[in-house]
Amino acid sequence: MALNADDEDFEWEPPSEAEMKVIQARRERQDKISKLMGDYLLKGYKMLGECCELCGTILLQDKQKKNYCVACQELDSDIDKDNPALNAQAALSQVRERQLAIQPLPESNGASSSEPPLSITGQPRPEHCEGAASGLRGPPPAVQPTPLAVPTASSTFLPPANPALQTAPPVGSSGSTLLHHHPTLSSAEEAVLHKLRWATQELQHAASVEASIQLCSLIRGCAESLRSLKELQLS
Amino acid sequence: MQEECVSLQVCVSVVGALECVVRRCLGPDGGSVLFTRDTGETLITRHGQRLLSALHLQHPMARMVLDCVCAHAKATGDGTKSFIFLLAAVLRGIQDSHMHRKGSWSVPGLRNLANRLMAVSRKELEDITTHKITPYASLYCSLHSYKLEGNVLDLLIGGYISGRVGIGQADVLKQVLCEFYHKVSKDQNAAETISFIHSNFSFLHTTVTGLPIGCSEVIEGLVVTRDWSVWTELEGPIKALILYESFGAVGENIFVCIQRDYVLCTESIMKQKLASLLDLQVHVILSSVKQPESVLQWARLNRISLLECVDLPQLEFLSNISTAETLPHAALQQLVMLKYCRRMQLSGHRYACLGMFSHMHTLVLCAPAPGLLDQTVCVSQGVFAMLQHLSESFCQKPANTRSDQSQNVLSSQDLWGGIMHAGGVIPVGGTFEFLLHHYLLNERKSCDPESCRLLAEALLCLPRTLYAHNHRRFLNIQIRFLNDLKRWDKTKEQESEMPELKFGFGLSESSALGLESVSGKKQLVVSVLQCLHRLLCVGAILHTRSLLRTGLQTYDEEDEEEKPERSDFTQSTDA
Repeated sequence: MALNADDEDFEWEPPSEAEMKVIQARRERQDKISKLMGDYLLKGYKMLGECCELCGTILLQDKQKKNYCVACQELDSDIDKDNPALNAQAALSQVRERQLAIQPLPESNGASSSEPPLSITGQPRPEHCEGAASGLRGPPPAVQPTPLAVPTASSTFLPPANPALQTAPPVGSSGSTLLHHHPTLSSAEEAVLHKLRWATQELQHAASVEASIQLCSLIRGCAESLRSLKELQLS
Repeated sequence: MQEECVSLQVCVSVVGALECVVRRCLGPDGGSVLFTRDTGETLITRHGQRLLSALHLQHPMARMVLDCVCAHAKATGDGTKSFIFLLAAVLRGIQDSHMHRKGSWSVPGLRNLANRLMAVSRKELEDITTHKITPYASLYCSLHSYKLEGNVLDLLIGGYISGRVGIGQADVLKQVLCEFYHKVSKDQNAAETISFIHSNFSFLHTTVTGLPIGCSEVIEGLVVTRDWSVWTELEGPIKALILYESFGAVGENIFVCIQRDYVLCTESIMKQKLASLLDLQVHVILSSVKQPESVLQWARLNRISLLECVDLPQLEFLSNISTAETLPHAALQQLVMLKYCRRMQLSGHRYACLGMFSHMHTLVLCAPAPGLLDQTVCVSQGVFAMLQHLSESFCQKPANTRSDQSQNVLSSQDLWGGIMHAGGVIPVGGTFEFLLHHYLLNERKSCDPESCRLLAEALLCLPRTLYAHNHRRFLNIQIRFLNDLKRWDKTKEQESEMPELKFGFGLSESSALGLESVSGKKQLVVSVLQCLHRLLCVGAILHTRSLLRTGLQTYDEEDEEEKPERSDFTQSTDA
């Protein structure tokens, strides 16, 4: 880029309407991220020298040495305003953990899903379905340094008009393109139903409140997975 | 293309996060942050440097910014939070301005911009400060001199403190600090006094926890935070001995029975030494170490007061200001003359108070909690650092730029009046930022209008945050100020009667008037632009696994051992 020639020809003009919007949206997002980061810093989190691989935000580390990306974890998943964001997030993380721990590794078709499961009906998928759908994609590849929320998140492509709702294709290649492989869909359905049955049985024998709550959320997750699968099959 | 955006984006994120941390503490209406530790200790502070130092920052850019902030605070005692704000605003301005370019900022483009901003700080900033802001300040002060005359120092201190402690504390602290200054400066000129207080502040103050701030006071003499081991009431000027060694140091713990009367021998040596002290007519002994019990007994018998375990730096300070004479045959003993010795009580503790013949006073700072105490001490220290910076920059100005009446200011007491007339002080509350903003935008002779505009836009972030609770008020103030300025410019051209500059008073009807130092604010802008230059010239961040040690040869050894995923942790700067 020619430096001096550029500067001499350059005359500052006020930004146009569209440019203003972009600047505004980006600045708002940046401000939100900064505010969250500032709050966490004051809570005792450590600002690391690394950036998140997905969105480029600076990583924080809590006292238990767990890495945390504010943009991925909080900003992009904070859609559903009725539920307290943290509760939904925590519940989903648990569901995901359970699914990942229980489910066998699904057959990987080698190709990563080229389309994010976002645009089935042309509308962005809300978070509670997203979590379950991500569970379907299977466990993230083992080398992931960042925590489990990675499959859901991120903003690698981030058109400023819709900052919070998009997701990237899953990082691992173990996801499957759901539209064209019906055997996969049905086997996924079977697996989910199996887990649903198991969870129901466990629920009947559950002794503690905590375990019951977790099993209920697993059941809910399974039900949502089934609904998503049905939607996929229908489309 | 990925790298170039990352560099600026990372800067903005890092500095943005730091800004959000200090945002809540800026200005007179700002709050404090409460830090707690797992051990139960708490720290309440709104001091910018303390806040930032308490965070866990591993990111190299954050650490670099923190270093710059600390260096700036050490030099001027002022503006750590404003530093971060201004830096963040300039970075955001740079990031936004790339929308108008054909592409994003490249690394050489950023470096070029950084260099241009540094050039602005050297040339345009200097010009505007000398030719526009200083005359405005001196005119303002002369117009309002009926309110300011004689009070400049008080207003300077008040302006500094009111932005840094709560309102209730500010009044008390301001009074105490002014009293302290006036008492110490009785027989010295102002510049020397400030320099003395600033460099010796750690010896000139004592802290007391558990009392309200209103109990802070100025005590005559030097307070030593130890109690007398042996105390006798004594009157009048006293000869005191400063000891840096223990009398019983000779073979106390070693019992080698070579001679039968070895123990008797050491005792008689000690007796001789003590007898010689009596000959010197010493009535007070100040020792930096613990003396053996026999010495204490001897002191009690001979009505000599003994103070043990005094801090070594404090003893050295004492001997320096009292022109102690070293004893000919004992290198570690010195004689001083003291005016009096007292035993005093501060919040349940007994301390010693030594009176000097010079106008020595001690500032006793009280606070209910350790965190508040720390904040009070920081603020007090900062006041004198700020005053020192102001007087230094005023005295260093070349003689031809000062007016005639201030030529002999250095020898007279009225340094502050001289500074005021020369335009060295300006009302607090954003005046400097407004002025600089206005003149940077209207600078016709500038060869770099884009950088001037960037800086000018960023400068407004400070007053905007100060008046953040009432945005309309901010706009009113800005409009009023610009009208004032326009009238002033017009009458300057027409050389008619000077308008009354209302700005600075109009907004402070509810709060007291305060002043701040022009050179301090200018230094802030310069420091911010220097830090920005360092940030923008970072070519790549390299990470190592282990800590870097000094010395290149050890660095190479580490290099061979480790296998980093990315490369090593240095910053390649390319000015």
